[in-house]
Amino acid sequence: MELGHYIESGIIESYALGLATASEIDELQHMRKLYPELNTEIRMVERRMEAIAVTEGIQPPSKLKDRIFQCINWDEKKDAKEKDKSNYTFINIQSRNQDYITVHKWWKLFFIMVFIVSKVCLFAAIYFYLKYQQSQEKLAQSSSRIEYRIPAK
Amino acid sequence: MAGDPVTRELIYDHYSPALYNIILEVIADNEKAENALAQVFVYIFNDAAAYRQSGDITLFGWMRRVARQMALKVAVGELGDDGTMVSNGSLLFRFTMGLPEGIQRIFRLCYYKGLSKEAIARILGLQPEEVTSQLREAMVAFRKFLNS
Repeated sequence: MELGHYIESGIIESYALGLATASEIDELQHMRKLYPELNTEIRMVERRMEAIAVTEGIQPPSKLKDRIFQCINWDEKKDAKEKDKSNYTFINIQSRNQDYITVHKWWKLFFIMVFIVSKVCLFAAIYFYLKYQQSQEKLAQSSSRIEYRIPAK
Repeated sequence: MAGDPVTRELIYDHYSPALYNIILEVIADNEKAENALAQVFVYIFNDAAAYRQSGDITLFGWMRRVARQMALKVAVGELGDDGTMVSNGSLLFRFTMGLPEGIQRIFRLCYYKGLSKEAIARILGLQPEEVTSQLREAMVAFRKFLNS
């Protein structure tokens, strides 16, 4: 597309007024990359509109200025407070020794659970082993009784 | 721009009348227009990064678009369906009044009401392509008007 024709189409003015659609803006950004001189043209149009807008301006009430600046200062104080808080969170008290690793705190719970489960398994193993021995003994006893009875017949 | 209080005051003193006028073109109610202007400056000062990220060339060009968008947001349901103009004597008012009636109506609905081309086409019973071409014509006329 020829640059002169593109500029004459009024696309810059449409963009400056905020009327350009998303696809038109994308196209303009693409054209700005291809033709850097387009930036000068956009600057000229916006400066012209700025000069007229500044001379035609209507003074807003003075109380509005105080309100706006109070609001901004308040926002800043809030941000600063949040920053201070975040400093405590990110203080690095980690050892420099390479022998240590850092893991998430959930791992602590995970290891406790593994420990408890292993203890339960161990207890169950001993319990069932004893049970098994007991039943073996009982079986041995009952079979000897049977052996004893057979000759009695 | 965001951090220095003196720069902020200079920016406010220099640009607030122009931006207030741009907002008043869209919002009839003074109190609502003041609220919109306050929101515009709080956004501009707190989000200086947004200007850099927007890729816009001049600061005023960016502020002007932010102000109109904010005014349209505040003015939802404010004006008549034909996009009544509130302020008179301003650059855009003079330009709009000089447009042929059909194009003028489309431009008013687009700029002062913030309607999309498709919405304007539906309101006026036109094809979206017709609205697009008439708006383009309006922009060519605006370019000539600005250069004259």
